[in-house]
Amino acid sequence: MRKILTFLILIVPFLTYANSSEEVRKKYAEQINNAFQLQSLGKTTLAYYAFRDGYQLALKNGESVTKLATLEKLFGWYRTYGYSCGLLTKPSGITTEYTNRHLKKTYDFDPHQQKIIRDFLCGVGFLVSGVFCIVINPPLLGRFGITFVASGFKYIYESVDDMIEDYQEKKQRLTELNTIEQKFNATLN
Amino acid sequence: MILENIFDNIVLLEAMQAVLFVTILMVSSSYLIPKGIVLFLEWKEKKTFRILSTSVTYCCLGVFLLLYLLLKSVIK
Repeated sequence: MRKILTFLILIVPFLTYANSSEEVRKKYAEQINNAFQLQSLGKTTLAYYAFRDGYQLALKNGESVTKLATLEKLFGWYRTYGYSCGLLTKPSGITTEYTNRHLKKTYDFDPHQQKIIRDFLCGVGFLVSGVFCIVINPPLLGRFGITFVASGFKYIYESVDDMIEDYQEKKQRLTELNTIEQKFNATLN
Repeated sequence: MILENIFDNIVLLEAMQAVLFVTILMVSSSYLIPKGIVLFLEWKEKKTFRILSTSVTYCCLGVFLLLYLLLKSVIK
């Protein structure tokens, strides 16, 4: 009987320690979760402090640094690209936020894409008017026509180049998100 | 062609770029610069300012397009 009592007395601290650790874990998990929720509501500063507090608490309680780094990366990605991807209702307003797609809800293209399309159409206009000039009056308007044609080619080529760049940027961003997701899943497993 | 999908259709964009590259190269190297040279030879005989200015325009634009293509292909 005495041995059982001694054993119970010895084991109680371990049991209580396990419970408190689990509670702390729950607390910082809630804080980090709260940070994401606050960010989605547009409360950037509060979200930042909630995430920082959760992160520091997790670090103090011996949480894996790799897991935390992945979470931090995800939080950074969420703040940078969340609004442009339609995940947030309000922009985060941080300095590194991606702002090219702010008007996507109003227009079919974002401002950058609109500019590319304008350049492309301007190039086509130059090309057509240049050809007309050359055909109608080669001695007098031919020189202007050739200049128009050359400008048209330049504008069209440049806009197509920009379109390809835009596509590659978009693809890179998606790859980035997939990598973060994979890392996140790996740390969970 | 649906214009909205053009930004997501990389095959079409690359094909357009290739066609444009070849067209610009052909226009500048087999039309603009040779025509500029022909006009320059004509100017040597007739000595008219109008022919000289047209020749210079053709040559300059041909060279400009070639240089533009070269720079665009080298600097990415």
